[in-house]
Amino acid sequence: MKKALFTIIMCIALVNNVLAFEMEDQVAIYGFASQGYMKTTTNNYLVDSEEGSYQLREMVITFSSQIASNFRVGAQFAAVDVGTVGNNEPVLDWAYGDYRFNEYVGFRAGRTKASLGLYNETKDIDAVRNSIFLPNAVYHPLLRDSLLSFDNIALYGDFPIHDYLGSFSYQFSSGTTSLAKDGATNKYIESIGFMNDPSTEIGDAYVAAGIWNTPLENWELGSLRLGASYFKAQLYIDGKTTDNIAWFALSKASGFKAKTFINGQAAKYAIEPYQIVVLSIEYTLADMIISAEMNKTKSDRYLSFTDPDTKTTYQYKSPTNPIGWYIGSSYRFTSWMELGLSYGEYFMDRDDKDGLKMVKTYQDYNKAVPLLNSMGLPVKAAEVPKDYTYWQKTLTLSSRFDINENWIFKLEGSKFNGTAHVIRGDNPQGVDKDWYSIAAKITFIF
Amino acid sequence: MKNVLCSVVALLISMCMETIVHADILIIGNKGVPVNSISKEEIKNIFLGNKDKWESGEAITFVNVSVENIHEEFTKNFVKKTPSQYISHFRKLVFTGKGQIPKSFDSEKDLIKFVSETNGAIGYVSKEAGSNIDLIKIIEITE
Repeated sequence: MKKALFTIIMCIALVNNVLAFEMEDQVAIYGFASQGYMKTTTNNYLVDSEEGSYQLREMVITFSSQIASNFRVGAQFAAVDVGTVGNNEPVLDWAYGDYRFNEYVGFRAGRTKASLGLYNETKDIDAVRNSIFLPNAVYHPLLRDSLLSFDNIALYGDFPIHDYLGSFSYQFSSGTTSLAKDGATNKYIESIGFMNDPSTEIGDAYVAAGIWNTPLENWELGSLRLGASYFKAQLYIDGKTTDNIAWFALSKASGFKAKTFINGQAAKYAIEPYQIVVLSIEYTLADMIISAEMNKTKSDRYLSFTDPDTKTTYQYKSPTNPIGWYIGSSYRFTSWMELGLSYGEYFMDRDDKDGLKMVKTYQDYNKAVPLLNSMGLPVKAAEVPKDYTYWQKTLTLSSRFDINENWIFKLEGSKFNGTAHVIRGDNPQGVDKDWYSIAAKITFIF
Repeated sequence: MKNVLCSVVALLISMCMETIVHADILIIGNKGVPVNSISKEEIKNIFLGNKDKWESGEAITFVNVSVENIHEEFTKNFVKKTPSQYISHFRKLVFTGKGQIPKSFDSEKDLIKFVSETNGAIGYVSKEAGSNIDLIKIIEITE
């Protein structure tokens, strides 16, 4: 199937002009294929990057048709390969019908992209930006599929506020989605040790997004856009218990009545609510674009286990509230060359930015292990995480070369401090605090 | 102070140049297009794909010309984007299902022919290419 998609993309690219002629005014076909390479000085990040990896690949093909002046249908298939995620398997990225009553109101139904922040909808489409990777401080690279697209209905539109106040674009949507078993989110949940063999569904996802195109819109003075978006959903995860200290906490909450909580028992994990607010600002002055965004997340995590003997359900609540922000700028020097620089910070818990509270939790747990073992509880000492695994600060220098209208080459380097987005399971030897990466990518787009 | 004065003068000169450039671009439409004048804001909305119907309800078909300096002057002065920002805008629309990349013609002559033959079509050409052609309507630009 993956080879089939690649073949289709290549064939369509080769005969694009013929198709454009034959299918004129019927179905428009677009697509791209990109191949990347990534190497880090230490820490496997997204791919087996310590060794250097070519498992950085995207193939997308899009079909769309303007059936009537106010009705459009389309679908996009995407196959990605980012380390162990995606494995080039084609998935339906989006497919929807779009009925636009007028410029103020339109309606979409089907699978649509989540409009969150300035770039979430296009996070897999690097041809529309300067960098290879979006700033990880706001666009969580390990949860990419949980925020990408939803089976939903959406209301959208644009309207002028006032002659001197600019215009406003909005989108509201409501829907749900199931995540691929081998997708990024399930891998991430497994990596943090709460559940083994997780299977995630997202229920009742709501997105509200607005962008104010301010009246500052002038070639000499620049253009300013301000955005705010809100996402709320529940994540329900079925899986098996681990020896994570959270399960110990749950056992403790039950008065140690059910020792079998730990390791291998069917259990549920819910994140409810999973709530994200993204504030955005983008300023464009001729060939320069400056953008800054902040992502504030609230996620109340509930581990629950029903004792098969007593049918009693026990629950452990673990609130986690990440925060991240970045500022970045890109400048196009010539029609074919653009450079960009960005800096961002991400903290896994805004109330524990230095990670010390979490480190102490593990230390206290380890101190209690001998006593618990003497009580007959099958727990073992946990590896105390380093404080720097709870934050990640990233400085990125990126370059983009538009070789011609179809070929784009990118090269970027990043300096990292902290490893909040580095999966522990990918680094059994441990992780280092300070590290660097270099990535290159070539894209063919038509 | 001298530097500030120089900067202000340079800015004024560049703004004057922009006005001259505006005069060098003609907005043209199919003869059946139900308007004789159009504001810059409307031009921007049409060429960004935000406005897709004329007031009469007829669909708008907007087209570009890929003659480099004309396209660049148009996108900068009317859409407030560079050509690369303009194509990025449409690639975003395409790959999120919100639109299609507009037709683009290699020559102004081809664009004029298309506009003259397509109901609801609007495009732009240089003053030299668009003047004195009866096949199309020249649409006056208002502020």
